[in-house]
Amino acid sequence: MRRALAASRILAIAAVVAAGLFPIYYLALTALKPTGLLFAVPPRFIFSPSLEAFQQVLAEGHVRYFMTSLIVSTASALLAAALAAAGAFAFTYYRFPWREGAFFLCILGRMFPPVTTLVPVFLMVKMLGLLDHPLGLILVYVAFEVPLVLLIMRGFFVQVPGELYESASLDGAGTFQLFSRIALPLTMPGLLASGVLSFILTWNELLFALVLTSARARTASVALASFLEAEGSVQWQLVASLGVLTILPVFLFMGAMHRFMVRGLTLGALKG
Amino acid sequence: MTGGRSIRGEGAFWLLLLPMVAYLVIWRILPLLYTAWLSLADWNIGRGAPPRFIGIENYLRLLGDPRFHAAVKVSAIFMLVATAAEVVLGVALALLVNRPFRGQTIVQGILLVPMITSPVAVGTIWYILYNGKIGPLTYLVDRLGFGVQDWLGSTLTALPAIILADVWEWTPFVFLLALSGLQGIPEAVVEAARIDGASAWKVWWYITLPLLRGVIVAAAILRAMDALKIFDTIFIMTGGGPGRSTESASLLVYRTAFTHFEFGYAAAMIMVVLALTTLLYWFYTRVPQEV
Amino acid sequence: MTRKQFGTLIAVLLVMLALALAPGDASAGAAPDFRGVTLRVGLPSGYDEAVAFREAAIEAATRLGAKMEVLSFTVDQLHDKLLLDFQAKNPAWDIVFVTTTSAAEWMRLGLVTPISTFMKENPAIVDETVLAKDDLYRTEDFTFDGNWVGFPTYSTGVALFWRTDLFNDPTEKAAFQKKYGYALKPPETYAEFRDMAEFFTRKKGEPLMGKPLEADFYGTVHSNKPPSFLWYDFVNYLVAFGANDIYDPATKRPTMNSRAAIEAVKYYVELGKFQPPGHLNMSSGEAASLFAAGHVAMQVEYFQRMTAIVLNPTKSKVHDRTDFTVLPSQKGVAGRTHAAHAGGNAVALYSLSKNKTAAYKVLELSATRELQKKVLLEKFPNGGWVPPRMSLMRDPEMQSRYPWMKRALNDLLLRKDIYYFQLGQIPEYFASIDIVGAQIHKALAGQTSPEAAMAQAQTDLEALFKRAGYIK
Repeated sequence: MRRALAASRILAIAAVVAAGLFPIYYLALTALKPTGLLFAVPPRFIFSPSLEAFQQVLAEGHVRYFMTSLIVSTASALLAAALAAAGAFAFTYYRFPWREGAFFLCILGRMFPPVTTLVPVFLMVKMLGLLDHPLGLILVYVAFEVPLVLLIMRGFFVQVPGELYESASLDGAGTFQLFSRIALPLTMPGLLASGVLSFILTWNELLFALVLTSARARTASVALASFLEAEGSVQWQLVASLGVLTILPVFLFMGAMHRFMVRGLTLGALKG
Repeated sequence: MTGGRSIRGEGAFWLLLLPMVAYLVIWRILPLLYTAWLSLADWNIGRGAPPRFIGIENYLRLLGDPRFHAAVKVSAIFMLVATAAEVVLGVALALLVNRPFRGQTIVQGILLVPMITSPVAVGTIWYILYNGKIGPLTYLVDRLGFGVQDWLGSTLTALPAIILADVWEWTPFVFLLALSGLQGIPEAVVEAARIDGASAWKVWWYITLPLLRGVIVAAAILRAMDALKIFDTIFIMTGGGPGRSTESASLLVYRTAFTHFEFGYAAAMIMVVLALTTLLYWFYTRVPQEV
Repeated sequence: MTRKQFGTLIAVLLVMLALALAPGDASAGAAPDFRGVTLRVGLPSGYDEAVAFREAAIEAATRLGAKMEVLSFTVDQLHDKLLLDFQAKNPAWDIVFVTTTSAAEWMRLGLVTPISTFMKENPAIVDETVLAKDDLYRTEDFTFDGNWVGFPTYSTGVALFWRTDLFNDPTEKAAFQKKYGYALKPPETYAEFRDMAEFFTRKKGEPLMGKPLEADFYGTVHSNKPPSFLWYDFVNYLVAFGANDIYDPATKRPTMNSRAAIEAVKYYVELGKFQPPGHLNMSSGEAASLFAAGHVAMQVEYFQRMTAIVLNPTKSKVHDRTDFTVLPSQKGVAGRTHAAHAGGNAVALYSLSKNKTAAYKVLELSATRELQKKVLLEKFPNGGWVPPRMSLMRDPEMQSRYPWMKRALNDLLLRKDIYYFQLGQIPEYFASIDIVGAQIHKALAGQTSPEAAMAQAQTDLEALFKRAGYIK
């Protein structure tokens, strides 16, 4: 019974991994196909790859945009994490009559499509003189991410047993120490997860990046998205190679961050 | 929520809470109020005149606007189906992968890949997959004898096709949260239950699930709210078609603002959708979260 | 979290913020001469005429001692961004790209400063000989109330492209004659077009020119993604069948439920049977790519697009087997022979630009014969751009380099019996095609009948026009 279970588990995992990866794999294939094979029926999976599409796309000089995206996404994720973790702790450690209402107010910001606040936010950023400047984007993105981190961290803080706080209090710990020495370490997996999610979401964000930037603060997502719906010659290899390039940096980032995250996860389990 | 500490005389409380709340008020709530005000105005930026106050006229117009009703319906269906699928699959995946095995971290990393793909790229990827000429899925179905299907061109299959793309993209989101939650469950508790003779199912239902509840609810709320906002993927895959069968509320809002230039009317639409979402949220919060 | 970890996090945050706050490139304001001036234009990606303009503008700016900064967007993004920037009085642009659907709207908004206005106010700057306005293609399409808005970026409108090998094949000719009772040749009426589209639509395995097909083959293909792609393809039929383009210009009343309009929709829906699956979601680039890959017999498309894709030896399998001609006519409709959309995109001056003089000079210089010829020869050796200068199209050297140019000039541009039309010029045009397009799309998808679709379109249009104050 045990062995059968293990085998079916492995099969299930393999199937899921395949389902998860196949679309991206096919995208990469399309990017590498020479033009002649693109419409071949049946679709070809084995062929000698051509890097021409990638070369054409990279010749446009996208490195600067990736740097901007990196700065904007990292800074906003860190700021948002700081603000929201503190706030989430306040919501879970204390009780006060207007708690539910205040919490609702905080995540209200995430309940409507971004296009809702496009015009007023655009005007606000313009007023601050931060149009086409990375800081303008950072300020706006932090507000997007805080509700996300808040919701997630609340779910984690809620699991922290009250007794831990009490015993630490008795030992003379102040509120901030309860927050930084007890609550945060225990919920680190959650914080890291929400940090990563924030980074990813702002990396891919398109609408505000488009509207709030022109040349100097242009992000990678805007630069790449501008090609994905061309009216002109739709060369699938170009489109696909752009798709791959959009994914690649985040993929690499995930690769780096993931080890960090795993360590955090095991630490959490140990402390628990 | 837990925590019964009173805030009386607690300066720390304000220091922890206020920065976040102030930030949100400035950057989310105030703009929202502006939009609310705009919903009471007639502002067509194509005609160049400034906004003109017209009271609830926009809302009355929405009541009788079949295109808006249809869009809300599309959004609602999308949200319900996609969220349900993502939560169930995400939790199942987390449970599946939670046992230690060789390559566990790599598998976990791979499973996150769809989520880090930008919505624009997701729309493109699935457009290619469904494509009649170069799509492998279409080819497969054709070989199975069903002919070349136009997934995105048929009213019956267009929305499910898009939902599938969304589920592919966002199940990892729930998976990540559920996994983090599972990792936080003390091994000792689970072991104790097992030693006591509880079956795997019992362990899952009576111990794991309740402890995961907070995380699951958070994930469901987040996904539901995000599903309501879906835009880029639909825009690229069908542009709202065939006809208007995949025109979601967010797509309609965008069209109203940037094709019809009716910013006031679009603002009213947003307020209505927001009201519906709020209702949903309050419904969700009825679900108890603690053990 | 340990103190050290916390400290690292703070350090990272500070570094990021520092990088974010670092000043970007300095961009100088207007200078008496153009040295140090940076001009900015937003162009749609994937349009070959935009590439042509980019090359010409960059060269022109360099010659003037200025710098040209080009940013790429999709057409929708560009449109939205310009609108918002203008609303917020953001002077971020100098030159703007104007499409036929947004020209009237931007004129009325004041987003562009018409070239003619600028010329009138700054006569000393204008170099008439270099400008040679009469030599430019269809500037009247971008002239409203006497104001000339912008320089055209390409010439030639819509044409019918057909596969010479198919139409000249003896087996096919015999079979067609047998089935339909008349000779197979490029269609002159829409009835003939329909027959030929039906004739050439075949499944994989069926014979074409004597050989079994390796993949499905289609009579024609249209890009039917709503709203713009669909409309640009459909509007030729609408006008050819004798209907108004959305509304009657005299009464400003929508007329989409007229008999002619419904006829056009019916015909268009029937054509759906002879097209590849997925046409409902296709952009014109994708449709043309299918033709270029050899899967389609005939296609109605902008000549400019097709030179870039289908006639281009490096991008097309059928470049040597494709010819073009005028669009068919609808029997019984007077005054609309070979009705075709004249096409056109233009580049104009942004009204809030701080460098209008420099921008104008760049526009003027980019439009000169000499610079356009240079760009054409260097950047489009295999074709892909039809320059908007008639004299270039008449140039024997150009004609020998590009085999299609002479024929395009004579058979498309100079032919007198083509009814060339421009799209509707009210600010609500874009909204109108969104409304009508959705109904046509429903009819194409089989959700509704053409009559019901147009009835609904008419109702919605009337509501729109009422709100805009055109009708009571």
